[in-house]
Amino acid sequence: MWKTLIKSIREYKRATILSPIYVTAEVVIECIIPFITALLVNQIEAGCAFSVVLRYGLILLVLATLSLNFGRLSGKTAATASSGFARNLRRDLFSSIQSFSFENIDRFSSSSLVTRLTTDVSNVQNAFMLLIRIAIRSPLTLIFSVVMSFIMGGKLALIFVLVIPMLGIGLYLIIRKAFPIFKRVFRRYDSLNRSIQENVQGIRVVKSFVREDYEKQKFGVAAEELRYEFTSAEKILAFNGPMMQFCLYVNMVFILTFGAYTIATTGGVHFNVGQLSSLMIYSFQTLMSLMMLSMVFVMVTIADESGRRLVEVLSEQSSLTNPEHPLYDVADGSIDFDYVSFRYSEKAERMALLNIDLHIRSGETIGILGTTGSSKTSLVQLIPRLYDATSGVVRVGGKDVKEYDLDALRNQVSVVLQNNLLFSGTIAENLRWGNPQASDEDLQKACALAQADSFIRSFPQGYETRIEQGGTNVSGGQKQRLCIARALLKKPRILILDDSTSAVDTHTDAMIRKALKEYLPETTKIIIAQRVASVMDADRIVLMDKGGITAVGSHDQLMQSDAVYREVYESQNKAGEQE
Amino acid sequence: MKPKKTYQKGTMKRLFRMLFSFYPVALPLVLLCIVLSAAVSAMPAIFTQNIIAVLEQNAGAGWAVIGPKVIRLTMILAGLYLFSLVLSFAYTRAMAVLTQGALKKMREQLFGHMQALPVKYFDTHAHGDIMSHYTNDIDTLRQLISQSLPQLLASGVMVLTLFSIMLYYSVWMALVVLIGVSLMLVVIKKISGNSAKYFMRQQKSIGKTEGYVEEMMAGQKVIKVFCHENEAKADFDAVNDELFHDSEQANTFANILAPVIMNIGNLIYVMVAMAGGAFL
Repeated sequence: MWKTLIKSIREYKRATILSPIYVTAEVVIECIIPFITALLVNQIEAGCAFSVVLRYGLILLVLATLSLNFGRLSGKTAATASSGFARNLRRDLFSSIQSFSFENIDRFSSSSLVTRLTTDVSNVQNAFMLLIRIAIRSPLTLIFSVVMSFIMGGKLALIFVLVIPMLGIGLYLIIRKAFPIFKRVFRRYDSLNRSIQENVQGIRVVKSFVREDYEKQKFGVAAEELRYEFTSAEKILAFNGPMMQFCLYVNMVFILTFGAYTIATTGGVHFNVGQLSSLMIYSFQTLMSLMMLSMVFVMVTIADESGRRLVEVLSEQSSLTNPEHPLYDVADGSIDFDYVSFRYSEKAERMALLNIDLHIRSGETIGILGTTGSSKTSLVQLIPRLYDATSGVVRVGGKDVKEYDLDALRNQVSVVLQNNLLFSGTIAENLRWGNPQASDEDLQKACALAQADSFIRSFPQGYETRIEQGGTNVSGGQKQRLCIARALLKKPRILILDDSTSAVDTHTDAMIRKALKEYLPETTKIIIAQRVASVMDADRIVLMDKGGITAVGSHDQLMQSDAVYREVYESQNKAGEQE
Repeated sequence: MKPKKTYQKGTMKRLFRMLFSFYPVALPLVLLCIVLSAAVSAMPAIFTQNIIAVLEQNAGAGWAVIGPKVIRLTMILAGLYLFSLVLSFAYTRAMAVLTQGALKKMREQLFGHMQALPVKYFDTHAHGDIMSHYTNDIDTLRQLISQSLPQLLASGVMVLTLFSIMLYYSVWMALVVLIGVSLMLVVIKKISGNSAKYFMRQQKSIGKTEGYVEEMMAGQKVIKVFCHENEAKADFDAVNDELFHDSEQANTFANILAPVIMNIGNLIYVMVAMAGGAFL
């Protein structure tokens, strides 16, 4: 797993290697300092000349300056390496997601992708910084301090044989107990996040239905679950500090008592006061580094889970690939479905489309009607190759869609998706998604066709009006018309409107269809609709049910031959009259 | 710069008032535990000094004379330690409960308040940015409440105790230490000021990145349909680079703080030793 991740270090390899080197230098000097201090203390105890004290002082001054600078360098390189690593990781993740096909996108929820790009990357970044700094520092300090303690304290240092395993086992037990709980905590975090996201996205609905109290209650439950799990995890972690203190205290009492004993019995020949104070510094360093090491261990284990989630995205292969020698020209707007079947994933039991055989001439207007779940959307999504057919062939302009360059195909087949979205930015910026080079006149022309020009002009800032995230500050009908205009700017050979005028009033709906017919006669138009009125003037109407086509024909033909169509038409028209 | 600082002080005060209103009895008790436990932690210095004094006064007297005196001292020390252990165990456990309880209440207040905000607020703030208040910002508060604040208090008490002990033993030496420490404080203030500045920027950049990512992920299918992948990547690079820069700066200053403090500590040690050599 880490193998995949470290590929993202790239230009930060130098910093990544330098940091541990600086740390090592820092630790070595740091461990020598108490040794020199012990000598200094002994000299002062012995009542030496001031010049000797000065000499030791100067040595210590030089050492401290060196250690400070190595510390500064290691801190700086570690920060650069880890932040840079995180930047590359985020970039690689984002790129990988951009190459996802619809099938890949369906597999990850958008909120989980957000967590991966933010929290998970931060976790890995922190663990990485610990690995190239603290994880080098702690073991080195540990070994150095223990060795120095044995050199200075002799038998006294044997206390470590008791205290180090004691602390080690204690830390291990705490981690083992707390870790599964922390895993649950992260899951609770996800669900809390989800409930906030849903609420924020649907705030208009919440407000218009006065559901604030219900939402608060729902949030309260998620917050309480998080609190409960987090508290039990933290309660276990709370053993950490006191346990560390306990080991330190045992150590202190032992060293003081037996240190005093040794000095008293040997008359301070082998062991003296200076050594006693240094030994205490070393034992503190030893236990501290053990503690730090356990912290590194915890952070790395937490990051492990995050790393796994990152690799999942990084190693996800797009289920759609460009052919080796792609076609860039789409000859015309004809579409052929040759016995096409389709299901969303290999595991799906139900076929979304079954044996579709449908041939559409270039420039034809096709209406598609059907109940929810009749796979109307699935059918049209195969045309710009948003998904690949499971069996059979889909042709555009006479050629299999798999032979085209993906971008070239999608630029010729413009889809207005069912849950269409605008992005934060001005209206003009949003429209130019269809064509970055479009002139202001092009924008106006497309908007005029989509019946959007007049309402845009009624805004004080016109085409420079800011759209908020998700297009929430324009009405549903206005949003749909902007989305149609955006799609028209591509000047496609095939235009697909997937239920794109549901929020537009019938009059405007008819105006849009009329405009499309008059000004884009060459473009093949496919209109999915709920209302018969939206498709009744199409050249042909396709009726769908449960993934299959039940009837194809013009309005008049279907009124004659199809009982279901007639029934739907009549019921909708009657409702229209009553309005 | 100036108005910002007063604003910060205001928020800290508000945070404290909130915490005390959540736990009017438990919180002061926990704080008392922290103070006592920290004061006891500073005691070994006295005992080490006393034991060394015993050793020096009775040099060559043998363990039979020294032993009982030393053991009496270490026993008192062990007793104090035990007391401190009990206290610190109690307050870390209590702190775990208090912190999470307080965070939950804050989340609920935040959410409740958010429900009362006009729709305009949601239109003018990226959704990811709003969400980041509940995750990144609250998480930072968790560290503040459960770790930084107790540590600050404990360290403060320890510094005071140790300084009083120093004053008791030698006023002059204490003054030398005081000079060293004020030097240390000047350096720390500079470094941590920078660190805080960049951490604040980093927090903002995280929010911005989360906002951008959230919007793009929600509209990923539209991006695909309009072949807008490369533009999305370019825009992402811009926010990403900003986050990198802030994170690099913030972490650099944070990483440097420890070696700087420790080595200034070493220097003070040298200063004291030399002053000791000169005065005594």
